[in-house]
Amino acid sequence: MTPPGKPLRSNGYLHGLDTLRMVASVLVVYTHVANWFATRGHIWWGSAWIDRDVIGPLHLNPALSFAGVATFLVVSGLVVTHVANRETPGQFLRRRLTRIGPLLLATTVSAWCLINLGVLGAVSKQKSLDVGDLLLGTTMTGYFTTPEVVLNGVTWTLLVQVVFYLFVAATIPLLRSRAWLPPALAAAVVCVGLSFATAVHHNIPVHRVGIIAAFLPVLCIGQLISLVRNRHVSAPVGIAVGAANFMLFVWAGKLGEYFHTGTSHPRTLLLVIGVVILAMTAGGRISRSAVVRGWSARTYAIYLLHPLCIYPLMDWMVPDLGPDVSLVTALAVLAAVNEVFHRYLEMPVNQWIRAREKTRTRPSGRV
Amino acid sequence: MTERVGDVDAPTVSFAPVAAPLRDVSGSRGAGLPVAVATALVMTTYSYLFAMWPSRNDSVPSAVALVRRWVNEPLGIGEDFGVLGISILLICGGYTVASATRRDGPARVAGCLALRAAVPALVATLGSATTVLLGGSPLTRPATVEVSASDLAANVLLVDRVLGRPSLLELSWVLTAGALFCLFFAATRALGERLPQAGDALGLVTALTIVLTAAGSGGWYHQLGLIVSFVPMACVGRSLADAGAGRAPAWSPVLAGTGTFVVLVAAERSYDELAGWWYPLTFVYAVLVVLLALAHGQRRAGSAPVRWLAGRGYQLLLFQGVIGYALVGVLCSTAGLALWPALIAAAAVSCLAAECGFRVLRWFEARLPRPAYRNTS
Repeated sequence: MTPPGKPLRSNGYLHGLDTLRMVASVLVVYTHVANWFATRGHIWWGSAWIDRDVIGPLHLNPALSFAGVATFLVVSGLVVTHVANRETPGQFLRRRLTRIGPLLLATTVSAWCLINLGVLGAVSKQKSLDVGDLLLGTTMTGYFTTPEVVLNGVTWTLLVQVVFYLFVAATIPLLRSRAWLPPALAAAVVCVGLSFATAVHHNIPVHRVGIIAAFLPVLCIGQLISLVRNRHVSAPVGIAVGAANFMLFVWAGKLGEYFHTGTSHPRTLLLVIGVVILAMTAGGRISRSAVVRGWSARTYAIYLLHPLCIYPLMDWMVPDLGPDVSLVTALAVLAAVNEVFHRYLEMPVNQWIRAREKTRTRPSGRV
Repeated sequence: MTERVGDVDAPTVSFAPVAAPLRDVSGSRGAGLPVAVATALVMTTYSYLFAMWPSRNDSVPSAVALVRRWVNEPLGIGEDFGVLGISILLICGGYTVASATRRDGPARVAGCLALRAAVPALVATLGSATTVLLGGSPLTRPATVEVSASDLAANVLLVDRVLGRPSLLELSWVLTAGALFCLFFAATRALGERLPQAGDALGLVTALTIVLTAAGSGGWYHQLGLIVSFVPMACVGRSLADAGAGRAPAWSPVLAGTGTFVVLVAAERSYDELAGWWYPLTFVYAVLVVLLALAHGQRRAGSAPVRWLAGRGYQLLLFQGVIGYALVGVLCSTAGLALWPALIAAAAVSCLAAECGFRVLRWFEARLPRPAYRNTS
């Protein structure tokens, strides 16, 4: 789930964002581990403790749901807006899509195989999938079909991100002249999208549009943090437009149709926004460490791969080995598989694309 | 807690000489702190004047109801931001006392607190008693009180809540909590000088012990436990000041914050009076506001409104309940003025009273023989 592009180098690398990505990946994995225990009727001391002493007092969503995703989305909005400032719309879109595409394809194919082998359940409940379903999964168009075809449940956030990328690409000229306008425009678009989706009931594609509209403000808030930080927008204007986006998010929660994992999304988002703004100033030893940097580079792979590794392994091992050993083993396998995907797929493809870009942009002036 | 968000009756407790020496924080490390103080004062004024008066008089304006529905409830911030503001002030108070003591020495800070914190509190208490005797309705707990000599003495000594006496200042619990922090700070200063983390840890362990042992008891100790559960917030401010000055490692405030969270959770689970108010969440918000102000507030701290609020904040906190609150009643009930104009007029008069209080103190300071607290800025 690492957003594409190098994080903000113009005024110094924001090491704190690496730390946040690491924390976000842990939170997302935790959410799904805790959900696994909750849905299978097991009680695990770790999630019981967090439920009682963290989630309870802070009144957050069950299993800390949305905390990790909110962090990823805000950081993504922040970083993407920064890199958009120095790219053409075409270049911006090409880079973003080539960044998320290869791993999405590989993990969707993996999920398709695991589902057909019967070791993983499809989120959309199908027991067997054909090549058409694979195509729907890899292009994420399965989210708009009836019935839905969703192979890897976590990819819904990529759908929101892709819409945001399209929006940013379309508004790059505005971002350079009237930077406050794109997030304000986005608020208007979200308002229309939510109204439309709420008015039309029982329609899967329209409901999906509503979900995208509901979560788009999170990315726009990240965008505003970037714009205010780089002084493209003044702080009062940033706060005003950010508040409008935040209130739209609150409204989406009140509509009751788009947040399925709890009712605490607004306060989770507010806490995340505060932590992100604070983390931007962090530059200590921990956030500069190689571990954090390496982990941060692998968060996109972790995000896509963890349900594919953890769920089948836990289903297989917990009845015999118990929760603790099974969880540690599943996490170890996730780390190993993740390393393989990152080292032998994500990195080489990324380097190849960058090399091709360089070759294309190099002047062909040899006489 | 949603059912209690926006509820007007604050729990039995409340803080202290928060804003009094705030002008003392002029070093670059704490330069953003006035932004946090100003934010907190806007919150408390909104809560105790604009939201509490109408709520107690069954005339909640639609704007306040709207804010409760769209902001307070979704975010889990109860009491119309009032306790969030108080929590921020407690953290800022701890920060200010710790940094001022390190810079100016304990004697000067004690003198400063006596003049800038105790005197306005005394004036406000006496003013509230006088207003009650004249038939007015300042912000008290309970809403209507009668003044007796023993009650007045308890209020002046800041033990009204502990003894279960009527409070002439609704926020007297805040003053008591602040005073307790100052006493504790003085008692552990020597240890804190050598080992700042040990000072924090001792404070947290003491608070937790009192909170847990007082929960099952009755009488004054039970009431003390309620107030003590808020004191660790000031310890977080102290820890932040120590870490900011390089006297403690960066993880020290993290430990202090976690410890405070634990105390608040323990208090929430142990006291019926605190259940349902979501104070641990409020505390986390307060810490974020203070940290954001410290990290990014330096530029805004120089603006005139922020400087005004930070300088007169303590007086404003006290006088809005005594003068402003009583004035709304007079303007609405006696003069027949509409609610909003009355509230705005009351806020303006409270600000004027705070400005007068500030100027009188400065005038008084300038004429004192020994410069014990002059030049502390």
